[in-house]
Amino acid sequence: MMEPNYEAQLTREAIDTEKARSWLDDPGCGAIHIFCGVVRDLNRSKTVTAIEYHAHEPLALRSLEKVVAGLVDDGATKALAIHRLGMLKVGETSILLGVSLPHRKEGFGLLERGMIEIKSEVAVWKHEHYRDDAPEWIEGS
Amino acid sequence: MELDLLLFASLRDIAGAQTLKVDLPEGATVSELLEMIAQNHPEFAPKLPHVRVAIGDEFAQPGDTIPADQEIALIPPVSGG
Repeated sequence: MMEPNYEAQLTREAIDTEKARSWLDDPGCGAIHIFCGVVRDLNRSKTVTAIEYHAHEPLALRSLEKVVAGLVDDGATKALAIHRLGMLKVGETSILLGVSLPHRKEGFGLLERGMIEIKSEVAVWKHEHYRDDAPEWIEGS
Repeated sequence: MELDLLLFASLRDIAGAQTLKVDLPEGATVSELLEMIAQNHPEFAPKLPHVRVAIGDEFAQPGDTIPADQEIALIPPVSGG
């Protein structure tokens, strides 16, 4: 049986970038693109100390699978998305999106498209914690 | 039929709970569900124009019928990544 060429995960563990890179390895691919979204310490002029990620897990996983399946349909040899849930400190990786392809050029566009889809379609919400203010839900528009 | 709608993000804060109990007629659609919430729970009204409904693990369309045997969730604009 062939191994699946796309994978979506929700996890409460730290995202292992090297393991993700190994999963994306393919002898026919000369390019592996990996994007990591990381918790930063400033948002809307407030000092962020942590972000708690909440999800509607079955819906989020299904949407994440659709995103990576779409990236394979559009030319990626392999595609992988891992979204972290729970409380993350500044500097921790919240999302990893990776694709592998024979050549690099199309990979940049696929990663950007995948991230746009994740940010609009995957049922995950940030609950931001601040140094000087009460926590707030961040909701897209 | 009585349903416990799953709530997320700011909708939980508004309700002070993780679910919202609603009583809907059999065969009600997603649009009718949202109209009913706006009428009976006006505290949610400002959010509803931006809320999507999920049935099980799929986003629903406005004309979809609300089933009695699946989880129904109100999905505010997402902010993952």
